[in-house]
Amino acid sequence: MSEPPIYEVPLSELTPGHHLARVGSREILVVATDDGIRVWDGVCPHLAGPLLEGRISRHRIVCPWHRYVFESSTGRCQTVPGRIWKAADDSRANGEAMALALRPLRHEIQGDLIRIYGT
Amino acid sequence: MKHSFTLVKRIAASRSNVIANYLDLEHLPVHSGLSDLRVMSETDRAACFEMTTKVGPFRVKNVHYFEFRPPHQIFHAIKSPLGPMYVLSTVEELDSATPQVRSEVTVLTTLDLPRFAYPARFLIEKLLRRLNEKVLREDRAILDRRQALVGDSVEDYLRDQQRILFKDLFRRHYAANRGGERGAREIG
Repeated sequence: MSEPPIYEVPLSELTPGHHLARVGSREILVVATDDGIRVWDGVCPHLAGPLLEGRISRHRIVCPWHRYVFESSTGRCQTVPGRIWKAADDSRANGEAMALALRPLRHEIQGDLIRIYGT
Repeated sequence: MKHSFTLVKRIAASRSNVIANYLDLEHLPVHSGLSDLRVMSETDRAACFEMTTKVGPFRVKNVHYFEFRPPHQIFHAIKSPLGPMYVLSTVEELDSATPQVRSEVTVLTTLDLPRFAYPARFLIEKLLRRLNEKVLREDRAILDRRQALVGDSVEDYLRDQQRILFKDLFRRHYAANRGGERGAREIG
């Protein structure tokens, strides 16, 4: 038996470019990017920050806790802030990326509907 | 001329998460009253940084000395325009059946004020208490969420690329293979 979706959203709900949802304890972030629809877990992979409360655009997602920036289409971490550290002895003072990525949620698009699965 | 006061904060998070929150300087953007943080030097258990703090209507740039006294104390000395301020925070894990009071933080603040400012000591205390409550409210958002999502685990703070103050010392006391914060003991 196939797994039922945990959430469904019409494509029309993505008019502003993204759609946010809380389903039970799950946090879901749906973004219309230049490369198509992406569905990400709303828990920041850095220190569990609330991405749904961050700045979200078709290009990037910024966590409100530590200002880590993730690419909307790939989920990869683009930059970390780092400016607080003494530049001379820390490469992260230059805002290098960290090997982190947003967690994708499995989804499929059927007609006008995005079906999102919990795994 | 010295003036001291104590704050007691009860928090629904484990001691390990409360200490990690103190050492995680990168969460500063969460706090609207704090800005322009810049770490100037660091040793294994002490750091010196500058930061701008909004106290009431005033924005004050201070130099801070920040020291981790494992397993459960943070000593903080601040050089401010109104003289030095010393803050000792002690985090205790409570054996409470109520999840809302997992930890208790006792913050003992001592102001060493110049004579001209001493008559305003209670006003200064009031402004500092207000700032402290605001910072705590903002930190609670982090602590409550982390406690709900990752429980007592602080392993994400210990990743190779993660930058927190005094990470090695924190790891020695709070990493999972040390038995977590209940196993924390004075080894530093």
